[in-house]
Amino acid sequence: MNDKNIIVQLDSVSKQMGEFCLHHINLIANPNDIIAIIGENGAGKTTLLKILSHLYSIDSGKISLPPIHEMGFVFDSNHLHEALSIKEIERFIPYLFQKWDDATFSDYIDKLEIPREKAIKDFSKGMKTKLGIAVALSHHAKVLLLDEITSGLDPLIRDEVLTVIKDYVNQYSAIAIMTTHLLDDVIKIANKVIVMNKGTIILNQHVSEYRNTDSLEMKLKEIIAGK
Amino acid sequence: MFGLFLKDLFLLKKHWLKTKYIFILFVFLLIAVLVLKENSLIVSVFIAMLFLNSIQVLFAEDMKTGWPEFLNTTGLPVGKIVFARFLASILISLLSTAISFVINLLLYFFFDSWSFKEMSTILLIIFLVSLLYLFILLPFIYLFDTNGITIAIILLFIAAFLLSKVNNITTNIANFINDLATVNIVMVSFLGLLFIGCISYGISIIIYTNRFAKKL
Repeated sequence: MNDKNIIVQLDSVSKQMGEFCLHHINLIANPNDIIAIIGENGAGKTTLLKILSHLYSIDSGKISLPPIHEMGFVFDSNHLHEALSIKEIERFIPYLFQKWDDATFSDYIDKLEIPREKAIKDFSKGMKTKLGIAVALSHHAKVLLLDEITSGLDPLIRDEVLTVIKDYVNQYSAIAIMTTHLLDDVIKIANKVIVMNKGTIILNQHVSEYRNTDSLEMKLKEIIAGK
Repeated sequence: MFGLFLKDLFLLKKHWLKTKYIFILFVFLLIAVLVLKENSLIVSVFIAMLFLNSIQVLFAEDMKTGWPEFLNTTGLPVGKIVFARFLASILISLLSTAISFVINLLLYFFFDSWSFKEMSTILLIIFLVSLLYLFILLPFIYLFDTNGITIAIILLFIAAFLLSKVNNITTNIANFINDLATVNIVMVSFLGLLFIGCISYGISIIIYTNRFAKKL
């Protein structure tokens, strides 16, 4: 892979946050990569995601990221005002992003069957996640950062959400970096998997090396037993 | 910036344009007119002041949803984010004044106890005082969230009390105002308001940056 293709690069990045420390993290992401970060709670997944989001500075190492307006974020909870409806959001949100695309947003709203007239407070968790995704995918983001977006979703909506992410990455040669606890998600859409433990990366491999969820789970058990 | 202002506008509309609020306002006003008669002007001032505190609703809604974290992902400059909220506060002051105007107009037709000039002066004072109130309040709400109003009011009372203890200060202020021509009073008020607005805006930017937009 040509170096010019690399959009996200972390070289030996370390970050101390109170008693927690992220140690010498190396990460390279190229266009069309979908990277799944897994690990126990407190392993450092969210800290890593916040560094990638420009929200946390680093103590040492090198980091290369696109500017913030070229990144799309989907949080694990809704950040849009619950009293508002999609119709109202459509009116003001174009002014918040540099490269907002009204038509794309409208297409995603239709495709994901999100009701336009209802207030967000009346949405199910799945609907709220879909809305977050529609916002993140509607401003030509080169990098998508997804924080446990499928947790708590029913299997049908989870499939729908993962398919939309995968299609976007393929269509726009973008990158998606997602944290998850679900190995099924990793097998379904990711091409690389990173396993974190106590602030370090203990596994960084291509998902193609695993046939299914069981073989990935077995590998994880081996690593944990080895530790 | 315009997007944020528009968002605040939608939230205010959702919050206030409710049948129960309009009904309560109407009943309250009716009782005031029946009981207080020509003195019910005070009610219009009270309602306007009550409406001013809806600025707090905007902050509460933002905090409830983690809106500042979302804004950090848009790359919008802090100056624009805070300015949008200042625009919303100017709009709230204008709306407060407009509510007072409508109520005063009704009272004017019913009782005819005020001249139009007196009414205009009162409305101008309501607008300036409400704007001043919000400009002082905004940095406190940015710093203390919904407790900001309480803390700001307590501090304002303490400041007023301490000022009253300074020798001849009230007499000096009264003399200064008496010496000014009417047109100069208006000009001094606007300039003072602009000055306080700028200071408040600067402090709010510093607080917002440190609380919500600082890279950890």
